[in-house]
Amino acid sequence: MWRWSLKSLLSTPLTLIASIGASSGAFLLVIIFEAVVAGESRQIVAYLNHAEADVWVMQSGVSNMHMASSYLADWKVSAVLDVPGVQAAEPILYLNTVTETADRLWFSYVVGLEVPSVQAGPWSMAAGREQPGPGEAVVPATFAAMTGLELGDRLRITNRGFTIVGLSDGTFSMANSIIFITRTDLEDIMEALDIVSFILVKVRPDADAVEVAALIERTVDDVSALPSARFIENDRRTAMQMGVETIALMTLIGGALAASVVAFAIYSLVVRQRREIAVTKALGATNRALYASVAGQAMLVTTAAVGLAVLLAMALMPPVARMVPQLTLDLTGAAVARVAVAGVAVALLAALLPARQMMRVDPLSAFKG
Amino acid sequence: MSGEIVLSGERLVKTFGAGHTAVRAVDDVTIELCRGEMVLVTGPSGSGKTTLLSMLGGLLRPTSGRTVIDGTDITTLNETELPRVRARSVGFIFQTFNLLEALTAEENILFPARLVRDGWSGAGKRADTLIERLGLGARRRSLPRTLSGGEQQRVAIARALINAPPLILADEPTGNLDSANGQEVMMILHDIARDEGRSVILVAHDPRVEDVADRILWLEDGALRDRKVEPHSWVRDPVCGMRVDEWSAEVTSTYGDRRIVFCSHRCLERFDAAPERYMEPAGQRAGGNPVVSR
Repeated sequence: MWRWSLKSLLSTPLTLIASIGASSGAFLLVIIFEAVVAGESRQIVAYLNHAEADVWVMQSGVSNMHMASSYLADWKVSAVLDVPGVQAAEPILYLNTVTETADRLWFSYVVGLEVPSVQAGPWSMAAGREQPGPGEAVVPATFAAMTGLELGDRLRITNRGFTIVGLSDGTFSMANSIIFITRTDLEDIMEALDIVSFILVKVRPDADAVEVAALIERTVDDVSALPSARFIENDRRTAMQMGVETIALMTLIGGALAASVVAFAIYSLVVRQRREIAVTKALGATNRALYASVAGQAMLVTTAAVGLAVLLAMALMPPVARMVPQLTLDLTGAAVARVAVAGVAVALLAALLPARQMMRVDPLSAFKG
Repeated sequence: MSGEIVLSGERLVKTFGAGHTAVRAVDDVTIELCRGEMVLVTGPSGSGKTTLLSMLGGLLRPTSGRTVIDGTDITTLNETELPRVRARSVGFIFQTFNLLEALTAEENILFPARLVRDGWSGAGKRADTLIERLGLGARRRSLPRTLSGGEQQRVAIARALINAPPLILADEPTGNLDSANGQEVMMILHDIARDEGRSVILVAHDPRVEDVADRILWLEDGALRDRKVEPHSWVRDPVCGMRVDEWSAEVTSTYGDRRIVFCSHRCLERFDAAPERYMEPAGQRAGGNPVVSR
């Protein structure tokens, strides 16, 4: 039965190739969307990953950075420094806002640095200085390339103009491109003196970050302190939570598209093979065995389509990333596994309609010429 | 042929439709078939032959009556059990061969072996024997579309025999074959019944099949009836030697002042190419073909 099933499928190579190609297109969409989300989820916490902090201290009740607001009186920096186990503490002021360039508005995270910053500034530079001075800004190199900005050009943050003095690497994502200015400038923009948003804490080599965080919360009034790993995870989860429903919808649409293509291909095969199916039934094949053979055909087409989609994704992602620098694509094993599992569901679903058609085939029709 | 009953159809009735439009395709037919017996079911078109064959083979449920194959009442079986009985106990041979196009001759022959529990064990060896016996050795890896009609039907016969079923049902097995291949297929089926003790039911219009059948049943209007006596004048086709009814033959020619009849156009063409080869003076009837003594 399997041999017949397989060879029947292979006997119409053009149809088979078209089915695999069309299904792989649908799966490719799902994979690329997953890759965009995975890339963004990595990029969205890039700043937190690269900042030199073992513990993050923030306003009590706040537990992440993405889309969050946190205000602490700046004297708490000294209080944190006095906690046993703390080696260094550097504050930043932080604002979610819109940056205006010549023709576009960009959603940006503006980080106000204590200059010179040791722990909280850009970690890799494409050009210029990493430490901004008064009225100066360090912007992502990708952002500058997309908007045509260069060193020395001006950009507007809220109602203030800044001169670009540095282009940083790895600080751009579609959700939060990070712009560094001085804390003093950001205080002016926010009209808020003597406050900070987050305190980046480095602990002594012999101290444990979890214990130090707990000690800070007990010692300093009205603050939350989280070890870096947990803070980053909170931020990633919050950021991704906003995209989960979209991901699910896109996966569903891609999966449904793939299922339709596979179902149509197998259905066409079943219709073409009505006479042979009648013969196999007359010879003694059960409906269950025939359903298994149809499901096997669907599984084969789907597996080939998923495999082709993964290969295409691997081949296409590097040039796409070069052509569309604002996209961060990340093809993970987990995403491929999810698409493969979705593929199994697609195959079983796609086999239902052809199976129904097949079960209606009357073995008596084998006697008709 | 032993007296052991392999197939029994008891008071089989099949009605299609209902009310005043109902058609009784098979009407109270009772039939028994012994091991090793070869029975021909014949009759006019639309007389219910294929419907009867379908009920006997478990492909169609009778409106009333029952069918027993090798001791199993198949009319009581459900849709899961019935295919298994068909695979194990019945070999089907179709007029249009019905080979699976994507499979080679050998794979077609082996196909039903997978449908029977433990059927695969020894199937390869059985297939080898059948391929050898039916003269298909050189074509075992060929696809059906590359085989001649006769070869395709021999593959279909081997497929019907692979699970060694006690019953073979053949629907017009010579209907798509020329006379030579048709005769060959008939002799194979005859040997299967005689040498292997399998019971064979044939549905056919071809009067030549009557030569090899143990019994002939005449089905008319869905019921078995006494066969009408039809006048025949049997002569032999001078090319292939097949029996032909001189009075009803459709393929005819003249040789000198003689009227010659043939079983097929193929034989006529051969005859026309070299008539003197076939029309030796000795043993010829004055009127044309050699006479069949029967």
